[in-house]
Amino acid sequence: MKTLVFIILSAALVNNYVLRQFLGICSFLGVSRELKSASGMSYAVIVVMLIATAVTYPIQKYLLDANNLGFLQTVVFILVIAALVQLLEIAIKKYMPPLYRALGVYLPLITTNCAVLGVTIANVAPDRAYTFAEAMMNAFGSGLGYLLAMVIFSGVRGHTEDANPPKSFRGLPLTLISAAILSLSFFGFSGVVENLFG
Amino acid sequence: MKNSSVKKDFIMPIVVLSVICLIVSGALAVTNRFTAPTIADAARLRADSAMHELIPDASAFTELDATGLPTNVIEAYAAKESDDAKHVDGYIFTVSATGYGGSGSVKIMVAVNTDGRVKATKTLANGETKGMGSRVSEPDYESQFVGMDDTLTGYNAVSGATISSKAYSGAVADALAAYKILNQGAAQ
Amino acid sequence: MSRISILTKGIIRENPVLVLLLGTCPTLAVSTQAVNAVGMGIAATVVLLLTNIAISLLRKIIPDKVRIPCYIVLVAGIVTVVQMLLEAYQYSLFQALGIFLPLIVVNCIILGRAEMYASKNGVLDSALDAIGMGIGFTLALIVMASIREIFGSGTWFGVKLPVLDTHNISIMTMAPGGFVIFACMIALVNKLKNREMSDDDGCAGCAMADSCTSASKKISGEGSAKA
Repeated sequence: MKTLVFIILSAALVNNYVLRQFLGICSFLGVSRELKSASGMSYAVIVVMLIATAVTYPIQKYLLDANNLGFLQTVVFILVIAALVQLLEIAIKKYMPPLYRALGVYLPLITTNCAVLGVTIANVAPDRAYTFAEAMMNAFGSGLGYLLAMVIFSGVRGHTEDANPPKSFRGLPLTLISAAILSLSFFGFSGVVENLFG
Repeated sequence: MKNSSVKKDFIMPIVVLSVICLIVSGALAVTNRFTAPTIADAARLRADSAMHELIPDASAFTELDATGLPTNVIEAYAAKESDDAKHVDGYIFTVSATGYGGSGSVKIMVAVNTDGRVKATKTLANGETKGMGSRVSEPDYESQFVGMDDTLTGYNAVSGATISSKAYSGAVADALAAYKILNQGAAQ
Repeated sequence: MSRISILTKGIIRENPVLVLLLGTCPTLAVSTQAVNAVGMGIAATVVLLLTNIAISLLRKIIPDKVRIPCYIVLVAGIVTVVQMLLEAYQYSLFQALGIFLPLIVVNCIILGRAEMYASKNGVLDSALDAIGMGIGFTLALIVMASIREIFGSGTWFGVKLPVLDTHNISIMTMAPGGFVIFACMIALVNKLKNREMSDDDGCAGCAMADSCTSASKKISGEGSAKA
């Protein structure tokens, strides 16, 4: 139990995918302009990360590794994610229209979101030896970290829009500088986790 | 007319995608055939040179049965001057430990002298946070283990990186425990 | 457009990283050391070249409906080949690039060029476009990695530099340093090009730009309607 909590916290706070490991930067910069879209995108990412891990982990362990087909990992994983996103889109459109209205627009962005492919590959990395439960917790924690970064950052961006920086720093450079400061502040979390588990 | 549009809209996309998938998988299988032996050879060579770096006097490393050793110890080797020499110069253990990057995010090799003290350690993989936990792979931290016995007297963690330090020092302790188990086995 | 300008436009005028703002993730992640930047640059260039050629050759065969899945499979296959070759012959680089090697699959430079260029142009032009874009990506990475390595670690391509070696600013090699240096480089390009960015700029070169913008737009539209 303690290990699982540790995995979630370190994935969400210490090894934050966006702010520490530079995964999913495109969507972090592209969709974080408003709280509503930032959180909507993050929920979609969490859902897909969890489902994708639940599907790719057994595929890797029982299909690819068992048959010495490890070299097909990247191809299989990206296809699985692409197919999953398509199916998810069809399914929630049909059965959960309110959810579709909330998350539908983000789903096409998720196939090419490197955080999703990244977490599925990291979960089956040979030097990690995660169990299925640990892999799911890592996926959840990573998604949670993404949500946290997106939500905080959408708040920051609300303020930078009114700022008046030098001309050449307007737009993306200013956004990146804000991201740097946010990333710096996440260093503090490692102290929290250190004290909880150290 | 209708038939041809069905063919165009549904069958063609599926056929083309499947054919592409098949061709790509085939090409990967062929490449894998050619590179797999080289990858395995290179891995063995790296392991050999890492062990040689740790115990330069020895030239033969015999792999020992790692069952019964602490679970984090993945591999155990006995270092000897040559393959048929009786005298063992030292032991080498490959240990993986859990840091922030998940289990196995810190993987080290520990050389233990026959007197049960650490001869040297070497980082094989470090998946810890860059600039923080990753500092356990720096000489300042690593070199302190040289000459330590299993009490790890005088050990200092990297400040601000307790968990990564704990993973590393725990791995060293596991190696020393593994040495003890092996040594008892040999004495009996 | 002449052949030479197809090749050279990617290097400066339409530099994928600094002007089109593609491939931000690997740019930030592997630019801690110049050696890794060169490795990543070459790996991505090879993948880009091969995918552009393959997609340009197959552009009349691939049905529009399954275009993106087909591209993804092709890219993933080529990336895996590069991955296996690196593991076999350049292990230290393979280890340094880590997860960002398989993630070349979802690098927007690759898919972006496939979608925007190779699927519409001939083989030779697509190949030249790939080489130009690849060189541009590599150069941008090298410049950024050099700044981060020289000031962050006090070394350049692994060679220790006097003075800086003992007075390094290690935050440069960490995540915040990456963001700041990248911001400064883009600001410099803006200054040189006399370009002023608005908050919406920066995504136009990305294959997913439409979905991205519609995702932000739709929600804000809804929000204002409710308000």
